Amino acid sequence: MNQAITYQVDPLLQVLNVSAMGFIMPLLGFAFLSLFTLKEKTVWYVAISALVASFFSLVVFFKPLVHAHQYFTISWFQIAQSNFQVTLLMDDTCFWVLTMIHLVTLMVVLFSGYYMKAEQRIEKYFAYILLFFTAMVALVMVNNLMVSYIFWELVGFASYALIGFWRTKESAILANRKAFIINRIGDLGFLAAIFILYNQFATLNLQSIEVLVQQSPNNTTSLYWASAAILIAIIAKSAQFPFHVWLPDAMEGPTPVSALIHAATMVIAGVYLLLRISFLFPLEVLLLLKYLSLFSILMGSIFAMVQNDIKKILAYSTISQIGFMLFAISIGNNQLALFHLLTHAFFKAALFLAAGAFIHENKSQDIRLLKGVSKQMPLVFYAYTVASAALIGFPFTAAYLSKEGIVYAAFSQSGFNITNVLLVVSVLLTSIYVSRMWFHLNADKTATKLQSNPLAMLLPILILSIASLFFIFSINPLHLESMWLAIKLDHVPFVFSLGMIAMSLFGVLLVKYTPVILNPNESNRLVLFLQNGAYIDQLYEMVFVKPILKLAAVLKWLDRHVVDALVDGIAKLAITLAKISDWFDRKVIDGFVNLIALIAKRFGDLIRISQTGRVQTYFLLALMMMAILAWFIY
Amino acid sequence: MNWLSILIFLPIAAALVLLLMPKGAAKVFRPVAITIGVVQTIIAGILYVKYLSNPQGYQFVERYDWINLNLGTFGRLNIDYFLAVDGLSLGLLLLSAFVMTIAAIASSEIQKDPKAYYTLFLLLSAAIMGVFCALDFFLFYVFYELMLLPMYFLIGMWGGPNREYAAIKFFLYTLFGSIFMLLVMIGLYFSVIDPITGEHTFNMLYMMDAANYTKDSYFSIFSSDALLFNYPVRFLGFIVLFIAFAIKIPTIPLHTWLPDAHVEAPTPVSIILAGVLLKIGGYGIIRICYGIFPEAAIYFSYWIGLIGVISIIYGAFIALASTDLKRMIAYSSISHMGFVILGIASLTSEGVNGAIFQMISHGVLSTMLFYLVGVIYQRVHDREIAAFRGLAQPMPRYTMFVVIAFFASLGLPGLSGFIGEAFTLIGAFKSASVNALLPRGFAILAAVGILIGAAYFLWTLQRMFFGAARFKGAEEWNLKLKDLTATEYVVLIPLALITILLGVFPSLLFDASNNTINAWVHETWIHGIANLKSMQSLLKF
Repeated sequence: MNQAITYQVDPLLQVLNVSAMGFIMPLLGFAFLSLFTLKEKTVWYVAISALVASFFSLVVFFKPLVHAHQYFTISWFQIAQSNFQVTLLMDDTCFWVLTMIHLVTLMVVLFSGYYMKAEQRIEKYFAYILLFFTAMVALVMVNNLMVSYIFWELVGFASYALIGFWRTKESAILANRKAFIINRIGDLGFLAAIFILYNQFATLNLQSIEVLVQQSPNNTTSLYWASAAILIAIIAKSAQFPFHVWLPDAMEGPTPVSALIHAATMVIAGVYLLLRISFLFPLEVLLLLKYLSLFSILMGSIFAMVQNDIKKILAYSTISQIGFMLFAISIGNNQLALFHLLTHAFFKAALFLAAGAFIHENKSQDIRLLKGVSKQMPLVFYAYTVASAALIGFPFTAAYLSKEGIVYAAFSQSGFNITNVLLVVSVLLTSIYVSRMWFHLNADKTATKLQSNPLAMLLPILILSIASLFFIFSINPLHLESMWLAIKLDHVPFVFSLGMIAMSLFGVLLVKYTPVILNPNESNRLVLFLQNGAYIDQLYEMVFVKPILKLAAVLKWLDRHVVDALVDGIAKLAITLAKISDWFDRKVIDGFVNLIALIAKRFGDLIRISQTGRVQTYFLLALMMMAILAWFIY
Repeated sequence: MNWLSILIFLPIAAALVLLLMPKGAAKVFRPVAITIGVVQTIIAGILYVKYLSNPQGYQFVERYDWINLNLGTFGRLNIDYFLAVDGLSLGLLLLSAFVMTIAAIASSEIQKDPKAYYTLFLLLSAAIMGVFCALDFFLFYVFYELMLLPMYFLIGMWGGPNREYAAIKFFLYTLFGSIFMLLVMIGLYFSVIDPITGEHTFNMLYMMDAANYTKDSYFSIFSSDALLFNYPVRFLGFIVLFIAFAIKIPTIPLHTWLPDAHVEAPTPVSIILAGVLLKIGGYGIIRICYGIFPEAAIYFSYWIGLIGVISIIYGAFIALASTDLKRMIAYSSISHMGFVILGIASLTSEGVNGAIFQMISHGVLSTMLFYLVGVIYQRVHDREIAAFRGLAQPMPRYTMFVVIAFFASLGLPGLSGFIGEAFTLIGAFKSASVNALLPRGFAILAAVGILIGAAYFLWTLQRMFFGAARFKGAEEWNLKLKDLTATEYVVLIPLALITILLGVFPSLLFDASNNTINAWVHETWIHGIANLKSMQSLLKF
């Protein structure tokens, strides 16, 4: 391996502390909760304390280790001549993403104490959340593709278990299967990339690969294939077109799980991996990513405009927002992508938890039936409004900084062209679907206020919505001047900012004064088409699922009626041959023997005729013989 | 100590003791079999640990003259009792001992004629140990055939309703392979000379060296007329041996005995069949086919790899269409053993190490899977997937083990199945740029098999275990479908732990196999290429 850039473990003890508390504690929590049945409150406390311990280790042990290019390697196993190592990377990016994951997961677990109250198998719920968390933390820290793949898949498994947590609910167990299978398609891309890179570089350590790529930049063909393959994995995990179909269905799981999947773990994994591995990507593949992500941005926001299920709206919005992050990477601006990843995590988690509170109190997910929540639970609704403003990208929110940054970076890179205009249009569309949702939830002013607002519900939502505001990231509300984030952004011209804000405001006003947008005509074909996600699901069912099942059935038939029949046929043939030879043996060979015996017998019988016992006959015969003899001699 | 002999003869001694016991002592038969299994596992474990301290070459060698007959004009018949293990066989030996123990514990369902059952069981155990230890071809063949007999009766007497058909099918298939193996073995005997004594020998290690073949013998590399039906005899020898072992593994299209044997066999016999017997196919291909005929292995590697890929995908598709849980798992075995074939065909260290890992991992997982099927079959005597729905309701703990076994089988990282699959595929992919034996597309196609694997396992989980509980047998089944018993925990917990352990620490196996396999790959390649050149110049094919 490249010793030159691999720091040997100096503060080994601290690394051990990091892993002991940051990694082992949640894992132990997972093991403990999945094995034992405990009281509900105890389970909750176990989960929270595991997370707090992990958070503690992050701040106390991990933070001092953070440097750019700080690697720690632990050898794992050896095969052929290659050492497979577990490489940990502890840089700033890693630290900020970890902080976000910790905070969001902790909030989700707090909230689950309220939302999942009196559920059966609650210990399993928290166990899976801890597994989800552990896998995600590890995925963020490791810097070796083989090990990444392991946690990449474990993230997928945990999401499978959580989406299908209510395992008697038919729609949920179909949704989790779908999520896992689609992610599996992506995983094949990941595996293919591992094959290609290992074959090319004989290592899977990312920092070693990076050095090798820089040393010999003419390995391009394998880089094309590897980056294209891993792109499949990324867009499958991050729910981008054409692999986005699992995400809206994943809404069948408990709402706090959705918050986790959308903000802190699952879909973020794809973006994060791309951040780490984008050095591999040739320009052409980045261009492909640019168009794919732009398509997902537009598609997500258009589908979100006509949905009535609050969680579905948020799901499509995630597809769209993740698109923004990938778009930023595709134009070469990883820092902006990271920034948007962080800001998105907080407001999206806040939105989902607030939506969870609305759903929990009203037993409905339809925004037309949740119309009184602004009066019913005003505090939650305020938080929800702040998070919505962040999603639209209004000033004073953190997402304003990140989203504006991405759009501006696109313009300053390639000027005024169709892709950038579409990007601006998507800002408008975002504003439209968010304010549509907001106006619906704020429609009924007569609802009665909820009596009790448990702290476990209120606190996480409020904290997350406050974390969506600008001052978490910047001291300047209109430009990123960070106290801690080592991200540098271009200064956005005032006119540009003004244009963006105007665009967003226009969207809000459009919804307010256009009833068709607020309540789209449900019998309209186009609306129906968009509500059903352009029937992409049905298309996949028809093009992939059905033919595969058909093929399986045909092969099964062939196996039984051709391959096995052949064997049975050979056996039957052998038996038939045996019967024939038996017949032959009896009738022909034995028959021949019998025939000879018969001939002998018949001949004997013939001779016997002569044996009459009368002297006259013998005498006559003797005379005849002598006459014949005499005739022969003379 | 003659550890390997102890491993082999311990069960035989126990079988003799069992035979002398009265029928009334039936209660002790199973504990005896379990104890023997545990002792074997401990011995094999000790050998494994000892080997790890210096993982090089063959160790624990035992070599004695066994049969020494003067055959007049034919010369002498020399058969050695030659046992030794290396990084290839030791892991499989340990696996076999362990699986036999589990199978003995799982034999609690056997009611009919226990004396005969356990005697045959122990005889089988001895034969299996012998197969993995023997380095004399004749001795190997003796053990190989010795396996057949108990297995035939175990399926044919203690199996399901269609057991006689399944047993005879299994028997004939295997016999078909081994008869031709016998021919090749005799041919090899008369071709190979012991370099020390100058006499013919069955020693496999001598058969692996081209220098030991007498000139102008049937299998000589340096003979200019070693053609049969206008085809190099060595190639025919390879094909014949390969078919014999391909039936055992089994590959497409020689696989149809397996689903029938599994469906009819009782649970413990299914466990032995999938957990151990299939591995003998993979072991035989590596040790014997590739070891003795390296040039043919290289020459046919494309086709061998193709067979592997087809097995992977074909097996997976039929598993997807299967309606009987046991049949589904049987076909998934075919699919998983396809990875072994593909890894071997790649002739890279990654691929072959991966193949060995896959064999051991599959040994553990198939044991677990068939045991899990046995658990519900024992309760309600049904294993149609459609007969169950929402099994997680009455049997949550059982479902937990099913989830572990299914996800390990579909290759979830962190569990053992992943490492084997990943490295056989890495090897298959690498092959194109190292030795140009397999096209890259093979690895990619095989990866599609993984995807279908995920599909049938998840589909089964969703159909059988999740959803609202609803069973074919209605109320009656609700009473019968109780969660796991203590014995079942005793079986399942170690299996699950091993799966996790191997998935997290693959070095547990790779440390033992890596040196052996690196050397093996190197030698197979060097000898194979040299032999191929010599044969091509002499035989002009």
